[in-house]
Amino acid sequence: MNLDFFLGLITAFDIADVLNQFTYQIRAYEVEPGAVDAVTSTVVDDLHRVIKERDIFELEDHWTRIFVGTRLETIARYVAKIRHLTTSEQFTGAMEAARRAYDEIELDPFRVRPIVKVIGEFWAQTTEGAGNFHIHRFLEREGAEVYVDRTLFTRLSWLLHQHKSQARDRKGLLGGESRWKHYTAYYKKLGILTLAERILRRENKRLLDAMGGTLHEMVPHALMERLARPYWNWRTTSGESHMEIAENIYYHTHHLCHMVLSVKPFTCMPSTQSDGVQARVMEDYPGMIFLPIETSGDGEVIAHSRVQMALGGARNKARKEMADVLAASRWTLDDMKAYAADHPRITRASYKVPHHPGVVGRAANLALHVSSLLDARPEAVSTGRGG
Amino acid sequence: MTTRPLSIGIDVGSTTVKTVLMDPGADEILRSDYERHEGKQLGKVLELLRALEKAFPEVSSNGTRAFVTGSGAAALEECIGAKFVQEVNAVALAVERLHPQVGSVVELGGQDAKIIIFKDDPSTGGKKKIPTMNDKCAGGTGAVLDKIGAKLGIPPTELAKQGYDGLKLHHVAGKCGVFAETDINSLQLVGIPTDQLMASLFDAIVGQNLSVLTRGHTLRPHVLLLGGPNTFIRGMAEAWKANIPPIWEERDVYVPEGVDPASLIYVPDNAQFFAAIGAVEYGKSEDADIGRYAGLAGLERAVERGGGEARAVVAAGLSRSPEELAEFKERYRSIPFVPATFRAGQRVRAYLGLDGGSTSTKGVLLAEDARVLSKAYRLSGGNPIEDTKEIIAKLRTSVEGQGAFLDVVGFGVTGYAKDVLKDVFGADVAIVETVAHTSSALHFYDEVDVICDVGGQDIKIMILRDGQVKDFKLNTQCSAGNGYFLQSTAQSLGVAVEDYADVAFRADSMPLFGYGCAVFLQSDIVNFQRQGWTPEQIMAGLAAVLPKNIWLYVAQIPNLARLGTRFVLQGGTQHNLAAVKAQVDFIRDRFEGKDVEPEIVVHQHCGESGAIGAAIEAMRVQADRPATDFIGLDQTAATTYTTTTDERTRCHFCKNECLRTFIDVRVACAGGDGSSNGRPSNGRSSNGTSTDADDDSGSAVPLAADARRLIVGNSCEKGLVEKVDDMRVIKAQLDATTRDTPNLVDVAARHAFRSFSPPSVADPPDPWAFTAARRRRQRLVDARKDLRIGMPKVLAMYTAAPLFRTYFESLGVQTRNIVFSDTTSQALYREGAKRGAIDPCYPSKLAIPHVHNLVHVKHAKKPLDIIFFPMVDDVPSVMEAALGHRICPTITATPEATRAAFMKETDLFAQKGIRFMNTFVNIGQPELFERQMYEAFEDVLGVTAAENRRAIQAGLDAQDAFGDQQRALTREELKRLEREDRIGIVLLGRPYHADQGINHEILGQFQKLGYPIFTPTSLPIDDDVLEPLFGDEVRAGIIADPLDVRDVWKNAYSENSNWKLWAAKFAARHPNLIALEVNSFRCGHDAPIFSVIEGIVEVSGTPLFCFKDLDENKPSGSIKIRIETIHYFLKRFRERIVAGEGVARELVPQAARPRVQPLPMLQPARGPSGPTGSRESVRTRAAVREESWDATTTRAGHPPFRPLQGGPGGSLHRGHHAFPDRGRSRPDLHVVQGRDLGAGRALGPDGQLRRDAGLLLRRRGQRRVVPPGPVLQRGDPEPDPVGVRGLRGWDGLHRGEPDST
Repeated sequence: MNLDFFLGLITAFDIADVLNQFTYQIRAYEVEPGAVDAVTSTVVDDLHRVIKERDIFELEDHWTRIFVGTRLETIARYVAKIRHLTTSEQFTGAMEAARRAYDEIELDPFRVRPIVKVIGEFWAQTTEGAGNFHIHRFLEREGAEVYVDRTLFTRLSWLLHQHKSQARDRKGLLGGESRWKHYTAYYKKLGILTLAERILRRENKRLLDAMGGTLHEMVPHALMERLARPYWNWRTTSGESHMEIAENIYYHTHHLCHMVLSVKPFTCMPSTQSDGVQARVMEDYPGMIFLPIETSGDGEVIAHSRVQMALGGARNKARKEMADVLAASRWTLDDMKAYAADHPRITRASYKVPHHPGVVGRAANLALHVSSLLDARPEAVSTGRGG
Repeated sequence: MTTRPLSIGIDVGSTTVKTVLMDPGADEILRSDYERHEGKQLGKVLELLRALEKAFPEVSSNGTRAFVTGSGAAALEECIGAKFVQEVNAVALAVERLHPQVGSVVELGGQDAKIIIFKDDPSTGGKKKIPTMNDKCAGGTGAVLDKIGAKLGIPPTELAKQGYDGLKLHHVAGKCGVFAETDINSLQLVGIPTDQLMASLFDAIVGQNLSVLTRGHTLRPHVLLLGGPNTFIRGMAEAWKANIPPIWEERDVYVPEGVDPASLIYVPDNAQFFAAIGAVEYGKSEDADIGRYAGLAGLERAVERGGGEARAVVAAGLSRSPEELAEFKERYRSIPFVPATFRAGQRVRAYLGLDGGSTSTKGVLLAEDARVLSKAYRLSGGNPIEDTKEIIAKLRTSVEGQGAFLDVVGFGVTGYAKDVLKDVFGADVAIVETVAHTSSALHFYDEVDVICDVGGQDIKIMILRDGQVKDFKLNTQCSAGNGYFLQSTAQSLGVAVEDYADVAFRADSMPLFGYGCAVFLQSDIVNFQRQGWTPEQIMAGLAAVLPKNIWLYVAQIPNLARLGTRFVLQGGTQHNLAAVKAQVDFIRDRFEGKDVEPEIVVHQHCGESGAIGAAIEAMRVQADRPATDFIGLDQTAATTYTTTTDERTRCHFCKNECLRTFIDVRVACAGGDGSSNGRPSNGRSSNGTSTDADDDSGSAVPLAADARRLIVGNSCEKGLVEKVDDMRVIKAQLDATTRDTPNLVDVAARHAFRSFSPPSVADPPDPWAFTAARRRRQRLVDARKDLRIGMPKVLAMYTAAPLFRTYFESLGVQTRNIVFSDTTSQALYREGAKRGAIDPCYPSKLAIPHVHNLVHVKHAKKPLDIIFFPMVDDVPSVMEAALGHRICPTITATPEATRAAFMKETDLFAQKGIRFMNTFVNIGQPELFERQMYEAFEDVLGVTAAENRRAIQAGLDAQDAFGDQQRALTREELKRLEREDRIGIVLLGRPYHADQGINHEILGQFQKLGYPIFTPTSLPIDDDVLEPLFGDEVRAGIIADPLDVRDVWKNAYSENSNWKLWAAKFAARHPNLIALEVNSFRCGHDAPIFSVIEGIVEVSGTPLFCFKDLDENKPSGSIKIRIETIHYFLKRFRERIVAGEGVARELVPQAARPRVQPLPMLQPARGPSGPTGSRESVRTRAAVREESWDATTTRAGHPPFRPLQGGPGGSLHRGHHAFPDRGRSRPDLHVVQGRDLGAGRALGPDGQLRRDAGLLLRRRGQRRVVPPGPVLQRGDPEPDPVGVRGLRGWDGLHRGEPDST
């Protein structure tokens, strides 16, 4: 294990997270069932090959070899490798190829789908199988768009943030050290962690852009901490707890989902406790739909039923939102669909539909977007009510 | 006939089908039906729809739409073209439509329970719905009512009439039908009338739903009661009306003046149809082509082919082939029992054994050579005395019916009613069921490793090693996997239980049930029936799931092979060959891939093994006694009794106020049958429950002159008597025992919350308080003396209370102004738990009730200014080299969840003028801790940094003193144990297990039995104590320090887990200690260390007993069985300690020797002056041991007994068995594992067995010497002068000078 190994690992996490989130975003709208999975299968193979055969920077092969043998060799090697990673196009190029493959899939984004943000205990929210009652596929079968987290990357950046926060908490506690030594170590640690955070965010953003920029950017953990602070002390070092509360608030207040579903295995200690606090959060945020479920043990049927119960509310929200958009528009849904048929790029997987304030659903946002595109046409004459 | 399109709403629940035909335009119900489907959901729907079509022919023609809801509705979607609507959403829609004024809805169904709370949503102007459903548990639902109703024999029509108002209530666990049934059983036995039992059950169900299902929300008026149980059972509605208004009052919920709050809680018309109506309501918002009713053709096809769903989950039948089945039947066919025959006039001397079980009573007669002469059985009639009379009469007839005479020479009883039976009928011995079953199995079978007894309600698994019971598992928390379930299922499917196996074997395939809760199995049955599985297939599937429930769900032992290879199956359920086949196959499967085959036998008297065990015990005891206490056969038949349970029998000697039952027994005078001595038992019986009718005590319940009184139903010893003077005698005895036997758990629980009277560390008054800041600070300082601070007595407070209390006191807060919440009790929990929004572990759930207690009790009495409930993240520790000293994250986070619970709907703290402080503290990092406390209290107490530092130091000193005090007590007691060769119990638990509300006073009961109890942190850590236990390992480099646990647990970051593991190591190494593990349900930190603890303790031969999954329900019955069992084994264990190297004494009568093999562990040694040895001999051995210890410690660097690596049962082996490579840290030795030995052999690097200097072996106070032997070469056959097989479990293998002791 060396730096190449870890850089490769982190890159693989990054790619996997972005790809995973992207496929969930579009699967609910595929016209031909299974089309997204079929493309994903090919894409994963391609990306696997790219990562495996990735170009690794070697100091000796570059002008920087002047550092070889000097006291700066290790630092130079590390800096150069990281610089190489952050400027290389090899992964973004591969992701762009993946995006093009997904763009070939026929989608119907005018379908009204409640968006369900899945959060919770790390393993339970990540796994796709019996371990969480197949909750992702169940939600899709029930007609929801599943909004998964970029779990691994979020966890990595949370760890960095946590270390920074802990360091700040202990700032000035000399513990027998000299003042100079203490503060030097403190600022060094803070600097390295901040740099690492920024590199992670930048790399993630590059991949998001390569996929068309349809996915939401990483939410800074400092913001998450601020959101959760009235309810939860972030110093409890179990990430699920304060992140769950912050995510619930963030995605609700930013109108990024209709409902938040928190999944956790039986007896997950911090996650269960934060559910107690979520009851208070819900009181403070009327209209929020939050459902915690335990996804292990023997209650699969009832867990699914509870999800259906909450999903009913989310579905109503999505429908009402779409109805409100259509009611306020000059154009009918048929007008919009006709326009989309004439401009197929707007129904492509990687087409970035602008997010309108207060509007959550993909269909409603697309309707607003198409409506404004129709309005902007010089020959803007509706065949429907607007006419 | 209407021409408008109609809508059908269908609600398919777990037990009933509800249909409505509506004219959605007019909101008119044209027809409604409600019927039980008896498991045939589709069939019932078809039947109802046919009737509906017949009554309204237009349904099939005019564009009717159908909407289905309920747990069983999904299959209907395709069959009839209906649209599925989730049931909570459906109910909410119906409520909003029909009763817009409603604030909350409570719907109880067959297996689910739902609550919907409607709140105004200012953001939308509409109403926000907060729905909750039960998740994993069917507790608090109609299933519990059905189960108990059936148990009490109440027909459904009568059930509906059961009331609540004005009836006396008793404690019944509402959490689970299984617990409820247990409580109801006990209450029924003491004569509580049925109407009170049902009212208590209604109360429990309502309480369960209010505390759990509301998730801390307040049910807002008006409250609508829906669902079958609420609609049809009068008492349920009354219970809601009685329980909700007090909550409204407490939480200041607005109720219009002059309105009776109970009138705002009601059952509406058509309450049972709300889901179906709501489904139709849902359809109004859907497009007209959604849910088009497609007629009945699809449904008819589905019913015909047996279901609408694919049978995805399938397995082959119980047997792979007819040949295999034939072979199985041949091997396991039961040998019919042939009762003994007697000559007319023959006098038959026999031992009577009786097992008063929960569902049946069994009796046997054993001949003096232990042959079974005859058996008798009857299903429990609800009264053990009557049952016993009948059984004894049957047994008597079996002998005397042949003209012979029965002479009962000994009488043993077992089962839950054993104590009463012993007193009434004069049994010689009453033994706990586990012992009886073990004794019986070992009587018939040799070298048994595992006994699995599956009875009507109980599952008992006894795990043996070398013929000794090493551990046992009881179904304390769940009855899934018992025989009663198979029996009731067979009956519900119309199959006689005797035919179960024949029917189940006919199935060539079967559905795969998920193992687990019996209530959910019930719902699986319904699902499988819907899918078209036949009764025989379902019965086969259920038989197959039985062993999974036994081994995986109840016992939680997936790896059966590690228990051993010889299994004995017993208990009445083994009469069912289908269950046996499933068990045998399951056990065999678990051995797949191992190089051994299990040997599985079914006890030849599987149904009566308990009774046989009782008779064997009577045989053993009577060997030393002149005559039996049995009252005689005629007297038995003539025994009459009366029971009284009312206010007159209530005990007032303690706050429990137990409602006792007086059983006044009349036994006729000695008859002339000559079969026994015929004398009634005199004075107080073995359990002290009997009183002779010789007094004029003025008892509220007069006692007839010829009667004796037994008192049952008391929860403590004081309730055994009626007179205060008698009680004082009992109390004095109890006090003497507890004085003589310290209980450090109790000490910790009391002392942690006492004042340590610290000196003041506060600054003197500030003479320069002229600036605003200084004046403000001085005001805060002056206010300290009047400041009242409340702290909940819960969780980390059991560790840190001395620290925080002293911190405040040393700063000037008055001792009397530091207020802790009351000690945990059922009442405290019930009062406060209703605010809980989540269902975590019980210790954590207690935090809300404790804060509730502070707010509503302590604050109400005298106002509190602050409630301080710190979030403790880590603590200081003396544990060495651990990765961390963290507290469990649940404990750390609980104050945050607690705060939320009281601020959720309204900020209760603000309302009451209390400041809630949940300061986050890292006590284990002093500098950080100091900063955290300073930042928290600078503006509250006006502390300066220096004051804060001094107060923290005072707190830490108090914390140390708290620990030292306990360690000093333990140190003294350990010495005494060693001197007297007694046994002490080390509690392997967490600090909060000192809370008697969490430990259910289990430890106090052991204390009363004479066992001192130690906590992990009370164990001494002085060098002279640790050296003999850990010194060798430290020197060998296995551990860095005696307080290092990394050799057994690498992830040593949790402080309390570390202590638990270290205490296990300590107990495993100390000859006078045994380990008792307690664990709370849902403990995430305990789960990974269970097996580690087992490994540490068991491999040393130290007994380890467990009370796992404790929660708010106190399963008194199973706790009692467990304690009695442990006590029995510990008595035998102590006898072995006392006996030292003594030779085992044969207790079984000479005549029985050829047949009876008594339990090896039941053999007390023959000491110089009797079975328990003389005091002198005890002292002598103790003195010898002390000398050897002294020698160890005085010859520093050259201990006389140096360890050989990995010796049989050796301390090194025990300590590091999980990491055998650590054993290589001594270069001159290495470990060779000997599988048959159960331990390693010690070989030098040259392959020589290091025997040249002789060996000294120690085990539990015994020592054994192996003289120097020949040096062996690797590969040589090893001579075995000491019998290595016999060395398993020895405490240590040491090499040194031969010792002649």
